[in-house]
Amino acid sequence: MAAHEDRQEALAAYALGALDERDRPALEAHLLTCAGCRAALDELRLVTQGIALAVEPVAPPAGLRDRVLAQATLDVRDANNFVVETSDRVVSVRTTTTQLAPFWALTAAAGLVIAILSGAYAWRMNHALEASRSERAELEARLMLVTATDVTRVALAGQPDAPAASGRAYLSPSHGLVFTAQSLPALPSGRAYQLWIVTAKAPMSVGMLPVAPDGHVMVMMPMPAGMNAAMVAVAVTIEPEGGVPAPTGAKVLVGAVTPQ
Amino acid sequence: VRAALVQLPEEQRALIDLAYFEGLSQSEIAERTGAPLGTVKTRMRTAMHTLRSALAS
Repeated sequence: MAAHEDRQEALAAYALGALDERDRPALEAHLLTCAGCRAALDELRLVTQGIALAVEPVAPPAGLRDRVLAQATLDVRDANNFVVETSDRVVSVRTTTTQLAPFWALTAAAGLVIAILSGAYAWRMNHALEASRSERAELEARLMLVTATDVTRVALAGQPDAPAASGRAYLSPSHGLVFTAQSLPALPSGRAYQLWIVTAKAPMSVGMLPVAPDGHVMVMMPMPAGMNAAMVAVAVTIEPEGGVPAPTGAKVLVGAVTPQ
Repeated sequence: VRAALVQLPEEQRALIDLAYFEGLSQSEIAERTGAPLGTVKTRMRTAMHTLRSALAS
């Protein structure tokens, strides 16, 4: 009952356009599902329209018409006089004329607005085009890499800390590497995933992985510099944000490099 | 509606004026008139329903 009363009050205010901003979403949501309230609102809107029509017409003060006409006649007479008699007042008439005919100014302003808007539009389109070009270039680079003749494919399996995770790496000494993984668990703040290529001599850091909130990542990175021994494995570990020179944290993904 | 408006109690008519012609929300009206928000809501509803009845008859 109380809710019904509240709603009646809200509907009345809504029809008047006076319902507080914070109360509007709830009422509008209710109106979508309640035919009764929609009908009530329609009736209240008729009232609102009635209020608009009910405004008392205000009678102009007596004598206004005469005063306006008298003033207008006076102005015309004045204008006729000063054009002929005084040159300084002609200047003021010209000024008035200019103010009354700003059509060229409006046209110019409209032209300027159109120019600015279309310029902005062109700029945005150009921007979008640039973005799609660079996306395409990146995709082509990845394609080149995974189809390179020297590519080695490595499947990575989730470790006890992330049993559901899996990954895949494409290692090409000539083109770099592409790494993808999914189902990587979210990390506490200050921790991040770091990718490694383990060689016969030492683990080499490839870089930090920009893992999306859904646990997915796909990156293309250069091969680690100074790699001078055979690749043995690819691994992902949990490290302090910013990375470390040699792995310290738990391994979450590991895959052995097998000659292909 | 005009006749019904005239017959509304003064405080209700003032409310309609503030809401409709000055575009104030209920909270703003409460603030302006010093009346509690609940009172503003109730009066507004009463006024609108009175006018609706007048329109229907």
